[in-house]
Amino acid sequence: MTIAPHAASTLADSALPIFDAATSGVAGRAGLVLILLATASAAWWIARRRAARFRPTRTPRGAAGAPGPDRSDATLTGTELGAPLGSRATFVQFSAQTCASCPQVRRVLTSLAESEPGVVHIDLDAEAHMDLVRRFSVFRTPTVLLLDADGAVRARTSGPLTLDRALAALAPLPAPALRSTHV
Amino acid sequence: MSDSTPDLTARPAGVPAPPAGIDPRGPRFGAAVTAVLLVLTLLLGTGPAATALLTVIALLFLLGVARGVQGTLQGLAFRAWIRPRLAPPVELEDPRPPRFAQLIGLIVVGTGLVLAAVGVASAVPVAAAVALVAAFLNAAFGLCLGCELYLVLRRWAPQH
Repeated sequence: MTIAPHAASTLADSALPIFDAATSGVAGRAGLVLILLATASAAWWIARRRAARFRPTRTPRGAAGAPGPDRSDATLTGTELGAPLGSRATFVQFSAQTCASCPQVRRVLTSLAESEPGVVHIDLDAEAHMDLVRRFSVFRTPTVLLLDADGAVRARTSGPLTLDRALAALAPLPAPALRSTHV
Repeated sequence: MSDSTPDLTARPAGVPAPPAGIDPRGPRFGAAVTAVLLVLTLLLGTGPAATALLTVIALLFLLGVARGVQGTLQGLAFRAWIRPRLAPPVELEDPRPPRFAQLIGLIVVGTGLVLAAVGVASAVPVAAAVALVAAFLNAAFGLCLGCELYLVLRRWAPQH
């Protein structure tokens, strides 16, 4: 255990005496490995529960933390997206080449857009739309924004997506027939 | 009045057709092998044996970066011994995400080895632990942590 007492390693070793004791034997190290794997599993489980459903986006005023530029425009237009919005709702998906679950989400939303009138699915290459990625604080792919008929972001989710979750997120948005008679 | 224009739902413009898909269970099997090797590294603690094993793991990652996950030793073992025993895959996976994750793994493990070479002995177990979390999550739950990092890293790049 006397390998070149370097500043950084001695700091790490002496700063954590319990850690030091645990790492001195194979049994201690095995315990640390188990704790590490259990922590990773718990973190994965919590993150998955959070991400699996659409969360309503807050009003633009309270939107996610930092007062970035143009915090007020939590609204997208067909021009910005390069495709017309749906008359009921638009799912905007941010995809990337290095994205394992993007194809699955794409399939779900494509079939949804085909079966639900007035619903459109727009798939964006995140790398080609870094302005939108920054503006909407997209940190992972796939991230899906749900826009209403006016292009306002109503909900968002990221990661794998089931058809049921997507339909549930769609439910609060009025169908186009209702809109046309009441507006 | 059809809102769901088919070409909008297809691949984003400018993105080339993805290369031929791979069996998604291949990378997961490979990650399981990597995870076992990383656990062994951690059990060895610090010292020449741990450093040597981590070097082997770094070379495996290097193969994955150079040839894709299907070209690694784990990938070859999967095709030779595991896949013939399994039912055909339900769906195929784009090989690029796991390949990018191999690069992240190589960077993590490589950083540990470089730091160990300049005298930071604890860098070996720390790097092995970080890589183990990623490999374990991939093997156990199919979560590709390295793939998730792609956009985060890309956001740091200068705007153009």
